[in-house]
Amino acid sequence: MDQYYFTSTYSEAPEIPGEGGLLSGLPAVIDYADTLVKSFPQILTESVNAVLQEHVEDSRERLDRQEEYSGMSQYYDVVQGESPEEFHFGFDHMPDHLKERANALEFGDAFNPPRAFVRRNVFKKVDELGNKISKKVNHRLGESSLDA
Amino acid sequence: MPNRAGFLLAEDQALKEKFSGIQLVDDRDTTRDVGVFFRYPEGETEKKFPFITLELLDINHATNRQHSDQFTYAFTGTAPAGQSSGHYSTDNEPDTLTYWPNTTTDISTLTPQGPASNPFVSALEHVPVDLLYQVTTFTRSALHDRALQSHILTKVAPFRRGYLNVGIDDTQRHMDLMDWRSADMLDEEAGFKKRIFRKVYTLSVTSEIPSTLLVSIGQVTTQSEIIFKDKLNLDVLS
Repeated sequence: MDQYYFTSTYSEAPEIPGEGGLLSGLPAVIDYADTLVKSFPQILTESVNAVLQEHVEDSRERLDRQEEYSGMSQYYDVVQGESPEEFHFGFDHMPDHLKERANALEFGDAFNPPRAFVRRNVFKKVDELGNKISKKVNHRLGESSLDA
Repeated sequence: MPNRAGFLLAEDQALKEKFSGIQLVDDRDTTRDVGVFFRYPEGETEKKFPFITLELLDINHATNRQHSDQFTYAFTGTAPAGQSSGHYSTDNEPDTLTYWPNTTTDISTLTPQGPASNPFVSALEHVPVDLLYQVTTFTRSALHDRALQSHILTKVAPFRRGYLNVGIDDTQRHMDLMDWRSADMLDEEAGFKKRIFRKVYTLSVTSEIPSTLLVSIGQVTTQSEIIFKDKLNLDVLS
């Protein structure tokens, strides 16, 4: 399931005044830029979703390797919040019988210290995710990008 | 209590001091102290509500603050004869080393590797790290819970302007409130019949780990001192 939907729109440029002369038209570069701007929402949406999907799959694999989180990995997800730029990292659509255990693991209880998988994951990965999205968008826009 | 030295030890002490001394007011007690513990109080510790627990969750390399092996310097001795001391001053320079993280406020009090007569000391820039802490408040009443929440969010760990004063090196660290949320629980000692109001705060505190030993540097006067340049790259682990 896609985590991100681009909702912003771009204004379209008005008609060029003075059309109808002997020669009229637009330089090719303007046309190319126009194409890029129009395709940007789709490129951004696809890039964000690809990076987040990779993050979710990677996180689920790591959860699978931890005994305490057995049976929970499939519920780890990143979902878009109320604003387009807001994401919620954590367990989504989790059945009630697992929620209590997930909370105890995240925040600790009287017997166990917090494991804090979700918060640790976010703080470790958030910059990396941003960089990956940026690189992917740049690649798609036709710019060269070198891996660090 | 004397300032504790050492990575994590100094920050732990500073964080405990930061959350200590809070008093709540209610109908029965106008000066109800809020205890502060590392980890949830065990059986041997008297559990007296309200209280606060501190837990270190993670240590992350702060790559966004990491530079590429910059040397930092400090001037510790007296200037050689014929040289003005101002020439050797490193005050207000961006690469000036004044403190050693979690150890001392005054670099000149440390004994560097190499000849003590050399007036300059140097080290590679420290490795920046972020410490992720969980601070949890436990109360029996909603009033205490709200009062503690109000106090912490306005006085102790406000959004955007949080700081942690680490005494041993007298540094003011960034202490960012990353998240807070309710996580009420039922008290197992009361047969899971009483509610414990619990708030969980996630804090990020900046810190540094020295990457090399502190070494003294000076003008090379003998052949044997030439090998000394390698000491600048001495890792703290070596």
